[in-house]
Amino acid sequence: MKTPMRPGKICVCVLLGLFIISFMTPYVSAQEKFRKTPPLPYPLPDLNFPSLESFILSNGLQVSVVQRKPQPFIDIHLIILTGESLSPDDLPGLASFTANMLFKGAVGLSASQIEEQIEYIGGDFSVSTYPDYSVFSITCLKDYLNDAVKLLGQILTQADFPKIEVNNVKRDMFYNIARNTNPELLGRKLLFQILFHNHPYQKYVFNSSVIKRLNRKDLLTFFDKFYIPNNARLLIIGDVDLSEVTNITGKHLGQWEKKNVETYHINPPAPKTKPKICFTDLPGADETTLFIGYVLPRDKTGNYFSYLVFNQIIGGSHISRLIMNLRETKGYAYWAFSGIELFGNCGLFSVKAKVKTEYLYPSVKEILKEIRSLTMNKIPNHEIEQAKSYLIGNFPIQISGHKEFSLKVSEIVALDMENIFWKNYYENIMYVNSSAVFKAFQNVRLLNPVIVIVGDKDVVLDHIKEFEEVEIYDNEGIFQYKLKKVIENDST
Amino acid sequence: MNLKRLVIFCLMVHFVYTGFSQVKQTEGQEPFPFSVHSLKNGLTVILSRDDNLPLVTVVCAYKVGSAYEKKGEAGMAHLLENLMFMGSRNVGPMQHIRFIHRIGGEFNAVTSWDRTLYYQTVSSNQLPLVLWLESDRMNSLNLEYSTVEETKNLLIETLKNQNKEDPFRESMLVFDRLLYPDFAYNHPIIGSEEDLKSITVKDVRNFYNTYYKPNNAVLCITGNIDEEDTLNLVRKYFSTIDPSKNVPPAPSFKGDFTQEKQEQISINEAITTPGFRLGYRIGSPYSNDFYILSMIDYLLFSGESSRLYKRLVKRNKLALSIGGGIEKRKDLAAFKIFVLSNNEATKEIAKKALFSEINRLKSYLIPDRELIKIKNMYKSDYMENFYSPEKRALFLTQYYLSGNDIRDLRGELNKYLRINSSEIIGIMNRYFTENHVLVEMRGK
Repeated sequence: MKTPMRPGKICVCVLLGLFIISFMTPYVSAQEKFRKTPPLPYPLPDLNFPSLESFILSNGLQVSVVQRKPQPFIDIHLIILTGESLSPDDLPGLASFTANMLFKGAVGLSASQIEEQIEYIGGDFSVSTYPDYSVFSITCLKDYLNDAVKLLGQILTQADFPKIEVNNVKRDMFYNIARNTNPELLGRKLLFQILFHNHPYQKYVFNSSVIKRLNRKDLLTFFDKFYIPNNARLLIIGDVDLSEVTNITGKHLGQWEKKNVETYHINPPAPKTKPKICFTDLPGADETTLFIGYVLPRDKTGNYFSYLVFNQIIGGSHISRLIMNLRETKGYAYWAFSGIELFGNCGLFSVKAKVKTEYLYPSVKEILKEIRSLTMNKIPNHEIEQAKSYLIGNFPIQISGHKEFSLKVSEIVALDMENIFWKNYYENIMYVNSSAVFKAFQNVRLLNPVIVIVGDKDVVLDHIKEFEEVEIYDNEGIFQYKLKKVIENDST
Repeated sequence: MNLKRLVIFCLMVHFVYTGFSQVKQTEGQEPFPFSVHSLKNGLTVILSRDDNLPLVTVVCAYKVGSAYEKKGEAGMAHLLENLMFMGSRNVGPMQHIRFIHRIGGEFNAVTSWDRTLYYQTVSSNQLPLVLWLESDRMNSLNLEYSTVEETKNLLIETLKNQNKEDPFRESMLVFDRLLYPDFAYNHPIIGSEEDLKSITVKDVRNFYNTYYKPNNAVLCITGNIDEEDTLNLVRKYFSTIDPSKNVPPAPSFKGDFTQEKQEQISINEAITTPGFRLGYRIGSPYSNDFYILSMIDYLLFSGESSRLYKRLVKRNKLALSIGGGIEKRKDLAAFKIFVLSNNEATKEIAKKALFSEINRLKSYLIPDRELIKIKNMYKSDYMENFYSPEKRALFLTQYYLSGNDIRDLRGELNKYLRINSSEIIGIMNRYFTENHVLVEMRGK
């Protein structure tokens, strides 16, 4: 049983308590002044890229060198300046097929032997095909530059495209497309198909039925026509010097035969005259994935940086408008981002979002509202400055690995962007202001979007009834039918 | 001594004396410059300058992970990792992330068995901001009841989703329980639903106050920095943070790790492609054997011309996928192999083919060219660690936390490049024995 405390004792305890608290307070709450507020940054450091030095071999191959010291790797990129847009109209995919076959055999070398040779020099290898070009990338230890270029020369001049590998590559391509259940890839593919309908860039996406028609004969024709030194660029990045590269490339690639190269001009795609909404079914999809895209003109002037700032404000990061609105404020979406891509003749601005299916319609409305608001009104300065701060801080991170750096350089070389990108990146971003963004979008009206919805038909159909007209596609991009909004008559 | 052993012995003697390697070695050279410092409160600071780009990476790592958790609190270290973003005295909840995002920076955090790392890469002029943020959460993390409960619930949801979405997760848990000796080593880092529910705010505060102290941490800063200026900044933000008076010693395994053979079947209805997990207990990651085991890892798994990929996937088409390699869990390590097959019949053949490849390595020397190839691949991957501020900072931090003397980094790569074929045979026979752990994965 507890004994009640006497009043005198209580007073002593209270006084003691107060004394202890008063004694402790400075230690509990005191902190150095500098801890209370975030420190200011130092002055912005310079962003200096090493120079790009170029020379042309007698067969027309332009070789560009970027010296980076000390670096134990060499990154080699062979760029063929023909991409999927020059595949025959009835054979989209031929450019990708040809590119995927290139390292699959040469006279006296099987595909496995080529793989082994690349790994022997501490290297790896990748192939990518885009609408305007294909790029073959080899990374190796710097002691093996000669071996890598020798192998490349052997493959380019003695490629034999073995029949067994033709079948293997076709099988891999077929299954990659047919088994693709990734909603983001499916959505992007359909977006590209609709945005570039009847334009050569449409051939960048193709379905699995095309793969059956790809054959070795067409491949050889495409290879002979486009895989020629005067239609290519070679980029070498690492701890090398120009004279070493001149000797090695002359020795191993000088024999690559020059041919006449036809010039093709691809016009930019015509602007869309009305919005289009498309849906593709992905049975079992948990949520709905959304793409909204617009074609931008290819801009070789400063407008490109205005586009970048605009993109940053609307959906370039986790603190951009779309994610703050759709996820943080309204709870419609899990995420929502936007991006800008550049091609030879145009650009692409697109938004992608994963939304809760019941909020599909309001999500689309909100995204379009945000785009309209940003293009019709001047953006507040603090948002412009915030976006610029992000872009300036983030760009060097994107190229901080040697492979990322060299891939960026290969994109710059392939799309002839050296002047706008390589030089003065920071300055170009800093010059952007609210008026520049506003002006850039006076010429580029983002009025008629292509909207692509990917989700489970059984769940999504109820929620797309709100749209006026929706085109339904299968997940290979084949048009099925149209759904039109039913307007209920009020018979009373 | 039987004939096979005699042949192996003779070959070993031959190669110990002659040795061979055409891979260039860099004897005693520092792979890149770095310096190590210590504050009075025990904080270790590692600095390395790299002026390629105007970037800086800051890694703040604590010597604590899931192996330090007591029974009944599985998931504590990972829970605290998440709580470190929920605000401190001068930084609001999630503000750390927002500060980094606003300047275009990138961040991440990772909990492993014996360490928890927080890292961010930003433009180098923003170094003071990152040090301000890191020091505030080391000094004064807010651990309120509501935040802890909210974070626990979020992690429990993640755990449930993992169980739902990954049909192979259960087999992984079974495998780890058979392979590793006790709770400290064999429970999952994310913890269990039951334990996460029972962890209290008081438990979390105790864990934080015990381990999240400067004398149990290492701060590594790499990139476009001035060393003296950076050290002054570090002193400003970290030197007045009190150290822990008593950091408990790190747990270490005292028993015999090489136990007998164990095999089990794990069934999950959602499995459509059967497979198996095979594991070998390979002992301490700090022994010299580890260098040779790393080469065996490359020999079996690295690249399309690696032995297992070539045999099981490309040539015989017995496996849909194959993966594996060495896994280090504090002072123990295991060699893990994961194979998925089309059906039960091909799975059985794949298993036999796998054992035959392992047995081949126990008896036959690997060709010179193949040895050079794996050394070059290893060298390439090893050096990859140095060529971005983030990779370099993580590499230095991990190396330091592994208990190595960081000065040994100078000659470390050469320890891998000196290995010869006969050493590989010796190690294969020592560790790749019948006493393996095998878990079969089947659907219904």
